[in-house]
Amino acid sequence: MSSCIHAFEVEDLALGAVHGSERRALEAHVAECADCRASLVAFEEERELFARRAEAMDPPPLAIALSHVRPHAPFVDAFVRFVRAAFSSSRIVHGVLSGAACAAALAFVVSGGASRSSDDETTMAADVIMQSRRHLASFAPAEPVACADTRTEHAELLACADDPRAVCEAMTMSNQ
Amino acid sequence: VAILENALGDIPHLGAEVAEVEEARAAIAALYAAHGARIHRFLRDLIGDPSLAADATQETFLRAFRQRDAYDAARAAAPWLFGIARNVSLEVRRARTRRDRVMVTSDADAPAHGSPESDLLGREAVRIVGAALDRLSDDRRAMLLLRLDHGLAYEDIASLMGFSLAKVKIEIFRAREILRATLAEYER
Repeated sequence: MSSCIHAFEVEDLALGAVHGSERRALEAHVAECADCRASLVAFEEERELFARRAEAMDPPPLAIALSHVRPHAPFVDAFVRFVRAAFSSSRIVHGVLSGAACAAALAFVVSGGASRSSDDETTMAADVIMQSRRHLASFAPAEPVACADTRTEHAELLACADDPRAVCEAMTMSNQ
Repeated sequence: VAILENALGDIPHLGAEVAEVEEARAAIAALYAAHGARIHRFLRDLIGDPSLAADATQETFLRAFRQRDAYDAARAAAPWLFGIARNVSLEVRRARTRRDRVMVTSDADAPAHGSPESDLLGREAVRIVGAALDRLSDDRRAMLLLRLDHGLAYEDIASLMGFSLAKVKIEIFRAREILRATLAEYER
């Protein structure tokens, strides 16, 4: 680790947390200070290790599963009702076919739902994001944080995960 | 987001304007979309049990909704959320039956979903970081995660942990030394 008094500050270069003249001054210092260069490299290696780990770990499993579930799946409901009605006289057949219906329903859910409308999903997500942005705009300081991402509006919210204020600037930019 | 919105829908308005509450719900849902995975990972690293971590993640965002008036609009939301998450993790750990120390090392943490090479690197990273985290005290583990995994500023970490800035810098410095030592062991 560096013995330089700027050792902790240079980490902020890797995090993109310094801007303008402060950033230029730190970059100039790092260019001249071998200790800080080594410290910066070590910090970036460690961050990379954590980033690889984060990629390998699952997001919240329940959230993912439910994000793919349609609020109402009439096809599945109707199918289960049909199977129950048709085979209610035979407990064994009923059980087997009900199990098959459940398996089909599970496969339907896991696969994201063959009959699910991606337009519906997009509309619901867009509604939430549009409502949310109005409120997020109230979080924004006078000078919003820079957002380097130029992806579509839908992706901006996730792209700016480090700081929701960046969403506000991205929104401002897209409105200009 | 769907789970969270359902849970938020169960909270009474308590006399607040309906439109204001609805807007706040949508804002918290957006925060969940932006930060939910990171908060869940942080809680999983602190609590150890993935299902408890999932519950704690939801509790974190429910509390964020309830405590929204305490949010400082001039500051980033992430440190605020991580502060709530850490408090929730402490409560979860206090409440559950006393067990062995939380261990995060697990191959099961790294499911295959990329190229063979990236999966291999991912599993290796899970093992190395997990082994290093297992060697750290709870507070030091939380500080290292907040700095290296979640990129929070030292000042924000000091604020949410309730420690001095100097202590946080020293603790993270020592935690990083352990991480480097663990990394060196794996490279040998």
